[in-house]
Amino acid sequence: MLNHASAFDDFVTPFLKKELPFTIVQLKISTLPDECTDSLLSMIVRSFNESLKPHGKAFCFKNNDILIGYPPKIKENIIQAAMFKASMYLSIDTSELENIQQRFDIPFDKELLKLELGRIENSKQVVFKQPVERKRVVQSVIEDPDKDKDELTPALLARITKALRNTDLAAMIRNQRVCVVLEGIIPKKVYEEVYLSVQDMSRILPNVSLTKTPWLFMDLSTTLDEGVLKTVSRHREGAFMRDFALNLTVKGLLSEDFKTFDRGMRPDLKRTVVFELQPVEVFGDLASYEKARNYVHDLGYKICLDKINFDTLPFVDREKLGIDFLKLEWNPNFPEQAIENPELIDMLKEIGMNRVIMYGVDDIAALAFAHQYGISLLQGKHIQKLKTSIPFNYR
Amino acid sequence: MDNNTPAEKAFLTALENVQSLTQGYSVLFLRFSALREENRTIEKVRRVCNQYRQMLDACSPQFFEFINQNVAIIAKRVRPSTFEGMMTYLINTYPNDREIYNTKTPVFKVYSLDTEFNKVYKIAQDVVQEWEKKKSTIVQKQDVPLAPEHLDNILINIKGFNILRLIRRQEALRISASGFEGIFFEYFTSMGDLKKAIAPDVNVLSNQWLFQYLSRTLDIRMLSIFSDIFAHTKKAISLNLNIETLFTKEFDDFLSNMPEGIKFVAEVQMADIMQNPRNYMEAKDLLHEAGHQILIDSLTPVAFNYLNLNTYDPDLIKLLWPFKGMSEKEMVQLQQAIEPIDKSKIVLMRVENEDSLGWGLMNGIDKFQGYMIDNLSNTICQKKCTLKCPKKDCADRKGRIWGKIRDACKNQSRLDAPFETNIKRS
Repeated sequence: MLNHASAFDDFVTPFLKKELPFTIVQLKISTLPDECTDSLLSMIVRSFNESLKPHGKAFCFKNNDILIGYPPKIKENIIQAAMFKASMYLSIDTSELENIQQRFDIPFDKELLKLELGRIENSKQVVFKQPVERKRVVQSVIEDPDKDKDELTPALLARITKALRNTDLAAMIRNQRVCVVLEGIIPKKVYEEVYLSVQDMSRILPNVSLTKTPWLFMDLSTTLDEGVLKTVSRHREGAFMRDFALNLTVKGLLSEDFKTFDRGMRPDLKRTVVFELQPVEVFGDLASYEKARNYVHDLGYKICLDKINFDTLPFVDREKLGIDFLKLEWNPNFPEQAIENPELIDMLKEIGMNRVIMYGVDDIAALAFAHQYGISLLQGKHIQKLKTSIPFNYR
Repeated sequence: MDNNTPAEKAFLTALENVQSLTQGYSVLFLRFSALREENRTIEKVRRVCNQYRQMLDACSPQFFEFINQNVAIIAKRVRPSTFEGMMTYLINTYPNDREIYNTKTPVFKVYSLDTEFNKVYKIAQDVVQEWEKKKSTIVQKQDVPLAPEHLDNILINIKGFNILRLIRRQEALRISASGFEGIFFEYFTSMGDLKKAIAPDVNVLSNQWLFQYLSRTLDIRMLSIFSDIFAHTKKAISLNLNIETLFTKEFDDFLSNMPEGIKFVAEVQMADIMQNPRNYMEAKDLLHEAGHQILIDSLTPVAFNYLNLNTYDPDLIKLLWPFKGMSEKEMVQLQQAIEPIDKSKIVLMRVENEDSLGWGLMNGIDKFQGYMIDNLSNTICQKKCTLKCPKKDCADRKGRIWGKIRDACKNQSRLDAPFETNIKRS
């Protein structure tokens, strides 16, 4: 059981005594129906501590509630980004997370806080199960090809597939972060997509466009995804334990290889792991998708519908499909299209801006578009660059 | 005898072993293969066998579980009351399976080896024979999965063979209070024959994406025989096509050669639509401009729960008749899911019995396709024909537009006549 009550006392007493302005946000995790493990709670606490250091800090109480304390110098967007991460850990919507928040503005709410601390002190302790082993993973995806290149032919595909069979994919595995990007704060990582870089494969992929023959490309993606899952199962040592995404096929999620992968995952870390699925496959066989989705959700993982564009967006009903995230591929025509068809932005809002990840954010134009329309979950080369700096300085 | 010996052979050997001393031995045959599918799952068969093991504990039982799910048990000095108890257990386990009460070829049959050894031995030989036959077909069926290295050769084969041989067709009907009306003939290639023609050793359907790639070339071949298709269709034609095919010169030629008065329906797949929805929308406009229609093919009941089909706005939607095993709740869900859709757009496919037809009509669906509809269509076709050929022959001929089978028909224009009839009102 976690109980940081005395550490919390030490932390807030100086502020209370001197009546310095200070904010405390309580996350009433004790009111959530699902049980939270110690390791999950520590993960949430750690995640807040990373975002707020050195001025703010989070504390877990014996009833599982988390209290986050921070001075006014910490920007609200930092809190918002950290809250988003917490909602992911808890597998609840950000709006649900808002419903379990209580805010105390010190010194004004000093008495209220004391009352609440007393209530927690008198509440029952929560006992939880401890999770078992640990493990980690990896993933594959292909980047956009060049339009002037040759078409992928069956013979070439056969060559690539053969070469892949004899290659250790581990060395070709790359990753790229999906971050919460809000004005004035350093981007906060939500998860890291693990994939195979086609550029690294140029040795076996000379001057070839993969998108000109989409069905052959789908076959290649499937081979790569399956290969990455197997590689991950073979290379158990390494960094991928949590907060990562893997591209997989529906068939792959129902395979034996997936079961092997799952057995190695720590149960409470599963909710930070996302599987990215292709719309072509999902819509092509919704019955299998339903089966795979229920299975994966029951295990605690999250599902993301990958490669959505403004053409496919109108056909996606996120709620009906039961997907956690949707990935929108940046296109330089977006600013124009958004003005011509404002209903596209309404569709994104309907899905929920906390569910939409825009990827391919490789330049400032993409970032500016995201900022203008309130898309805050971003991925791309430009976001990688911002890892340690504050975006939106272009304004 | 090692563990790899099949139960069928082990049973025969066990009989030979007791041949010289059959006194007191019985053999019990359990014909699980006759039971309904849900009653002969491995778990259920095992459960019965485990119970029987306990009941026969004192009788040194030997169990033989055959590949066809039947089970034979050799046991010694079994009391009649034990067999009765075993029979009762079986009835209690499957109270709703009618086959349990079949007395002609019973599910539960006891033989005494004392008096019926030869009979049982003959059965055991048949069991082995059946197993060998099955084994050889299993071996034959083990085709290699479709892989990229097969594609080039298969493509050459597709381009070289006579596709007319493989063309089959199936009619879709509209049923109304006043009668039946054929809405279109769907032309397709028979998958079994196609496989034989283009890739006898490869399971072409084992890889969805590679098959989809091959199907683009099949589309072009299909379109190239337009004159034959047009010659045998009086009203409307439907073809399964890739959306990208609708933008090819071959499709253009197909449309421009189409005789006046014939309508066309393009059947497209959901995966293909999501591959490029913009193409789908453009293809739809293109077809509409020419007075034709687009149909979304083979949607399962589950798909209706997830899609806002009105967004796709197709002219027709094919709903696969829910396979057996849909729960009451799922049926209600499906009814709710089709509620917002214009029912006149739905074609219920794989209609094989009155249940499916009845369900469709009850739910406001009036278009149907499937074996039952073929049957209906054939019956009418035969009624109107002066020649009295066997019904099956007639059906085979009607399903083809080329070849010896069809040529055997001496009144071919009847085979192509659009299906229209009026029901007399009582």
